[in-house]
Amino acid sequence: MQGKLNPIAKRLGLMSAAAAIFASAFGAADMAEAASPRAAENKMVLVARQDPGTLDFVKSNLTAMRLWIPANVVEPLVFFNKDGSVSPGVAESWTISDDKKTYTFKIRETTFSNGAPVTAEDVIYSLNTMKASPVVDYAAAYEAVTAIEKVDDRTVKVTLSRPSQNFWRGMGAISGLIQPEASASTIATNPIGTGPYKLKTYTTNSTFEFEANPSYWGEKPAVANVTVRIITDGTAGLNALEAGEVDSLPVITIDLWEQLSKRELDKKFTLVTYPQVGEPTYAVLNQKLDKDLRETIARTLDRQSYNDAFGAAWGAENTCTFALPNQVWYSPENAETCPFPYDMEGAMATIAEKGYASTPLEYASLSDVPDLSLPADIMVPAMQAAGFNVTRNAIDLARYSQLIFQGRPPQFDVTIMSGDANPVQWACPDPTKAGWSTYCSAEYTKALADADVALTDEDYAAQMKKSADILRKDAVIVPLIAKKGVGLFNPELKGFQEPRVGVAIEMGKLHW
Amino acid sequence: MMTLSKSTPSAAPADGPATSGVPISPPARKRRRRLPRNASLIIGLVLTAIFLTVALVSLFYLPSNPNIPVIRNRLLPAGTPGHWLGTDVLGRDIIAQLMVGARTSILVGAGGATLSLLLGTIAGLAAAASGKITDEAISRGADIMLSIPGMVTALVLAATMGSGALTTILALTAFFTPSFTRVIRSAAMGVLNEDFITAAKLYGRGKIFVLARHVLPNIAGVMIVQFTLYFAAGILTEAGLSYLGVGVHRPSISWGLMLNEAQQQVGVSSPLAIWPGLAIVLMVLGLNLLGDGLRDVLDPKLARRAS
Amino acid sequence: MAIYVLRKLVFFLGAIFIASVAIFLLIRGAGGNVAAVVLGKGATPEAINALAHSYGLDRPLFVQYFDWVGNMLSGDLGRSFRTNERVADLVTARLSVSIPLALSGLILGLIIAIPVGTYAARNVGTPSGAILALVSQIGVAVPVFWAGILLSLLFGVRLGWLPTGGWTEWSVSPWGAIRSLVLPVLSLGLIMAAVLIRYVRSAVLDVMNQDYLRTARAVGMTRTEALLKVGLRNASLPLVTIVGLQIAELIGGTVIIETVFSLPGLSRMMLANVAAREVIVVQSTVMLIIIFVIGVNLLVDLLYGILDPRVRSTR
Repeated sequence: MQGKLNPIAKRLGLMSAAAAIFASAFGAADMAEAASPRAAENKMVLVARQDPGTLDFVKSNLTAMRLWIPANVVEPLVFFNKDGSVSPGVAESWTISDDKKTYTFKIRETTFSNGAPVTAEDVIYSLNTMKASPVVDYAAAYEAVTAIEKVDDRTVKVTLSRPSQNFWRGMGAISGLIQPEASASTIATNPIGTGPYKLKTYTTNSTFEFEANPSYWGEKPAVANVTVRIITDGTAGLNALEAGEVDSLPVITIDLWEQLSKRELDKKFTLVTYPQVGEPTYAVLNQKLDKDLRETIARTLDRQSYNDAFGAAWGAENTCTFALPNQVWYSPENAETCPFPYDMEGAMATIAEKGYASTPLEYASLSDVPDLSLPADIMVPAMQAAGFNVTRNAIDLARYSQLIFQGRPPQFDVTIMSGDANPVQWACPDPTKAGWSTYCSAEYTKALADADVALTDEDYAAQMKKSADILRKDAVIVPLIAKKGVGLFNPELKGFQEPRVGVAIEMGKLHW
Repeated sequence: MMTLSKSTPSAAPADGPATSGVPISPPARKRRRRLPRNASLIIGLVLTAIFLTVALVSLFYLPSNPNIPVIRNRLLPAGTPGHWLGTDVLGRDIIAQLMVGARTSILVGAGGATLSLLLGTIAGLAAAASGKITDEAISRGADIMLSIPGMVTALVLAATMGSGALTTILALTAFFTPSFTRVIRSAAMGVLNEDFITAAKLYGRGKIFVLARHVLPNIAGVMIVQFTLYFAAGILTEAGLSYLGVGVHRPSISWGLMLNEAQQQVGVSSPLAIWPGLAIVLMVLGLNLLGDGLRDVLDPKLARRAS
Repeated sequence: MAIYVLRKLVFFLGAIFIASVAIFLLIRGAGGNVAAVVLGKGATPEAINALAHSYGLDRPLFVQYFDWVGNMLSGDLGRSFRTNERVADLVTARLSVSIPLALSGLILGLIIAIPVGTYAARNVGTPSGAILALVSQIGVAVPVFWAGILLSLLFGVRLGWLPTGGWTEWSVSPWGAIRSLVLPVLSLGLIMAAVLIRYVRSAVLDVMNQDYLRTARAVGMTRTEALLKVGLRNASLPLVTIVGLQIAELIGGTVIIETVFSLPGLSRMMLANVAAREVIVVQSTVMLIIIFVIGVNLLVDLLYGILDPRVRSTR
């Protein structure tokens, strides 16, 4: 078989090598030109890897939605900039009382993209809707809110029972997005807002079409028409970029990085790495397991081998924090500063000594997400080699969600997750309110509460760091690697800026 | 492909020898035609035997553990000493994975074919031997099952039961049983119409006795041939399901799963997508050739009846 | 004849009823629910249950079943929980991918299979006939997705001529849509051809042995003339049946090809919606597929009944 196939493979290789030489000799000029038709037409085509299924930002917490809708279509009251300053959004100005318990927002005189004026009623409706959001991360911003009232046609006052950092920061995040009440019924397919773009069409699993919002209050976006094509196959996305069919893959997941550098796409296109859209990957251990057992599991996790497995050390680092670098509770940890660094011999000794081999463990793994099944391929054999009695339970998304989030207590022992995690998820005022990992720590909850009522940013950051530290030391969350956000752009397409509203790509800043 | 295979075996026309008495093919030609027939039996037997041996050997010996990552060995090219077909993205040996894959394919394919053979024989015999109402009920039931696209059943079944080897076997059983039932029913009906059956009945033999003593032995050839063909179809279907992510998962390994993993690495290492595909083709080809060859040997009549 | 048609119709309705119960029970037995999928990471059981309640998913199963069937009967296929889109609209949008894919695949398969199969039948026993038989045997053994992967490796990755996946809407660029379909259609068509060649070959072989062919030759036609003018027409009846049968199989083939090439067709929609437990979308779409398949078979049966009176009496 080998003898027969190798020559074919070689011939193919030669053909493609020849094609590459041909392209570099004659095609370089063409390639630059290939991008220009769309530049001249004031258009661009971006690629998304995942389909969100729903655009309902009140109910959905999916990254696939958060990348495109906030900031572009629907805007929050304010924007938190990278340097810590705050810029106006739907709120033209605001005042914060000295006791930090009353926020008064002056609403901008503008219209939604459907032509309806933005009213105080819309703002009150939006905030109340978010307050009632089933997504814990979004509703958490409103825990201290006691009243949301209309002062006059252009002014809304929010009263808090205590100072709350979560509230103020939420007003610059998805919790603070402003939508018209009249369009609530179409939010899942056609969300309306005041942003620089309006959504023309959304076809599930296929495309988003955006066009410049004619009534946008700010500076008009440089590129008026944006198509986002959903291409789930990563290689196909890279091919489309190389062929000039698309202009950018703004978010490229780790499973493609090796291919990207092997094909030298980082040389032909502008490679942007940005931490904010990065994804920390971490193991979650159910707290019903004995603490010593959790620590022992943590010590079997070899961060370096995860990193190596993706063959792209330039984009991921071994870490011991699950925060993104722009989050205040981030601290620059590495594999050595972990409370439970990789120590296979030590773990094996403990397993033998404590007889952990007799404890059956279940590893819940999502069967249809490649960049999460690879860590499972590494983690499960490593745990088995260490002497644990662990079985892998491969399940689909719906079962996974049910198993881990809906079951009480959740029926899993170990799993791996990816993406930024809001520490508020694990707040637990009393054991009956334990979060999905059954984690409940009074100390942790108090640190979070202290952070919320902090009057200064420094105090807030200190308390958040303290809470993150507790979580790590309890071996409930075991951070593994931090993947950077990686994007490839046509060299002519410039102006990319790091996201301000969560992970949203601000398309309005891009220009040819 | 998967559902293509669903009816392929039963409906696939036998490479029909010409009906006797038609002067289109002279005797000389006929003899020449026998040769490739025997050849297909032999090639089929050899290929099938090779894969069965590989699967058996994999129970006792593997070049290395196909599930334990050795990151420093990742993506070795074919021809590397110790890893003659190379390694995958986690440095796991391809040959070891192919060997375990053979085991899974054979287990699932044979499991699905066996279960549907059992159920299909029972239902088919019942339909053939019982009254009109039972026959109608069974035949229409089979029609309904056949009209539900097999993929849909498999997807929903995987969601309901969780994916894995057992679920895949059950999905195959659901695909294959109705067409098996049809084939067995018509074969049994053919036997039941023979004179010696009437004689046995006149002799006072009970229905069950007649079925077991006279009908079963006479349709055994059909059953063996059909089993072989569905075995092959089962392997194809399992590969497709595992490729879609609704078949088997690690630590189980199947050729379809390997192709799923390989496609994610297509831009980095393309040979990974070659080997498991070749394995599938050779194994399925072997079983199909074996089935065709057996059909000639065991049941020349079937060939005519099927077309 | 009227009784024959009536019996067929009763079977049609009965089959649809049984299928609807089966699919309902299967998908409801799958566990997990769409509310948990929507809410994602960190959702609380309370929030999931509340959302499921607002979707009406906590009502007794039989109520939900009759609700669904009742709506279907009145022509309402229901809506997606997550996007509130009508299932009918979702399906229609996806058909603009799936129908061209399946139909061109089938046509390509037939275009290859009819001449090749006829040639193979005429050359039974010769080396070229044997080689053709072997090639089609190998073709039958090739999984359609492997064919897809290999084609995309060659034409997409190595040569860069065609996209290896993804879709351009017809409305955006018809040319782009066609380019996205070339490799999928090729994979599907080649594998279909391998299967069909065997049918064509045996159908033609059958016809070749019939009396009317000898009659045709007796009146002075050459063998080829006889085969083309008389034989192919007679072989086409079983072929039509086979094509009818292949419809269900074609649907299966497109599921996997749409996945290989990331095409947003009906099958990919099904896969995603099963994983997300969009139960109404799944139930209604499956029922549409089943009604279509059973309906085609019903039509074929009725046509047969009209064409061949013997059929009526045997069934």
